[in-house]
Amino acid sequence: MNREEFARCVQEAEGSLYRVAKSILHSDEDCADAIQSGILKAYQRLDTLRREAFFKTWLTRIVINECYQIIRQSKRLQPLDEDPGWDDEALWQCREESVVFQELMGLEEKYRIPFVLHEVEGYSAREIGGMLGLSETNVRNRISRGKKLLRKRLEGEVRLS
Amino acid sequence: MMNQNIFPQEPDEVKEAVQRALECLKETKPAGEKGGKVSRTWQRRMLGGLPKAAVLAAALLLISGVTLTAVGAVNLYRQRMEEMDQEELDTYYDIAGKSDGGNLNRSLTQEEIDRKKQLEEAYEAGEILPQSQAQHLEGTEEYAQEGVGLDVTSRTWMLPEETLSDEELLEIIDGQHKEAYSIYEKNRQRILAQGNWESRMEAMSESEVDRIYRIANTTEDLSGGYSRELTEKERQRYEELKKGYEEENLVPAAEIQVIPRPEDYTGQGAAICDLDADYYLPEGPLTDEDLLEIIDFEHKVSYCFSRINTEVQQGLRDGYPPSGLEKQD
Repeated sequence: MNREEFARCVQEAEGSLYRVAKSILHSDEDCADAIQSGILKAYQRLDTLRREAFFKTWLTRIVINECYQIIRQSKRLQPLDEDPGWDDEALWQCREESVVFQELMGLEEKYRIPFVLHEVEGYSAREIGGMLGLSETNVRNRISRGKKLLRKRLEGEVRLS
Repeated sequence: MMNQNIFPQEPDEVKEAVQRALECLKETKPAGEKGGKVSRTWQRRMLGGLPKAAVLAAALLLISGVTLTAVGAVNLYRQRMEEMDQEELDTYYDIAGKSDGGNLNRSLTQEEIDRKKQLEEAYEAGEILPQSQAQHLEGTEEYAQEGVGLDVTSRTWMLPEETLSDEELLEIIDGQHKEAYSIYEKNRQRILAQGNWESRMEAMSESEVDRIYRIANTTEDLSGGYSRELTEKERQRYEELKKGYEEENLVPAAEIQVIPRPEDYTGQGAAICDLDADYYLPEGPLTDEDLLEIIDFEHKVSYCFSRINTEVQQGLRDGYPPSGLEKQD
């Protein structure tokens, strides 16, 4: 894969990378940092990618690592679990999707991220396991649990505090 | 799948960050291969950023009295590499540094090349090994025209004029792979010397990674639960120690004990059970060592699943290790 092909693949994955980063990090600024850093690291490690078909999964995993790196390194940042302040209406337009988004972001991180990767981005449980360092079975359990919890939240049985 | 529109639109600052990153690529070179001395097997592993520890495969054969068929079946090739002692590693590492090419005193015939290729595949699969090791020579003049020899001063393989036997080809293959492994292992040791938890994870051997994968993947209900609830005090201490583990290089004195079945738990210390992948805890308060052993194992499980998946994706593995333990008599 040459630089031009790499750039094209990155651009194709850009939206997905943002959504995945957004499901881990609070601010868009941090998402931008994680994605930018992830792209550069991926390019530097391009030789480690043996099958181009796995490019997007591979890059996503690197970006996820960058997201966690940002959380680890910066004391000022809080993972979403510790800062469920997603009811900032100024952030999003008021529309139905934003309600789903906010409820989704209210899920515990361990359910939210596998759920987003599977249900929004379409990755398989095995791929997600590789990205997050979980067994396939564990991923399936978390996705299933995430679905139930989200359904409950959307039905109003569980509300954000 | 859910509608991706539930997420906010990608903001301009993210688009700009992607563009900046892509612009930077023009000034950035993708990582290249490190030297041309490494055989393709170990080269793939090194390039994959996946260093492995030389934890002896043999040490993994016995886990609480259980012999793991799959681990026992760790191929002979890998085992041979991981059993190299430090002196042998140093020797081959020094040899590898002698020249870039790995010279031969004569060209191989096409028939020898073809046969070497076939033998190397079998060797890498652990199906065949040489009966002995090529002689090491302190100069080409020491070569007595018998068998194959490696001049360690110039990294030149000395071959007899007659057609090489399978054994002789295997001795060459073995020497070349040991050279490659020594580079790989030295890199691993350097990473290990960094001493942080991530480097320790990366330094796990393939055998260890496989072993942990099997332990953690032995049950459909992989809850990773505890045999009893942690007390509030234990939870707090767990979090403190986890931070220490990740940030201050706090490590347990020993690895967590592995028990084949719940009934094998003695009630002493923390243990992980092969059968249900649950943690078994003593009734009394957990010590820092107990908690650190759990934290260590949790980190290893997470790392191992991630590494195996990555290796499969990158083509470094043919597939996932079989789930579960197959016990032998």
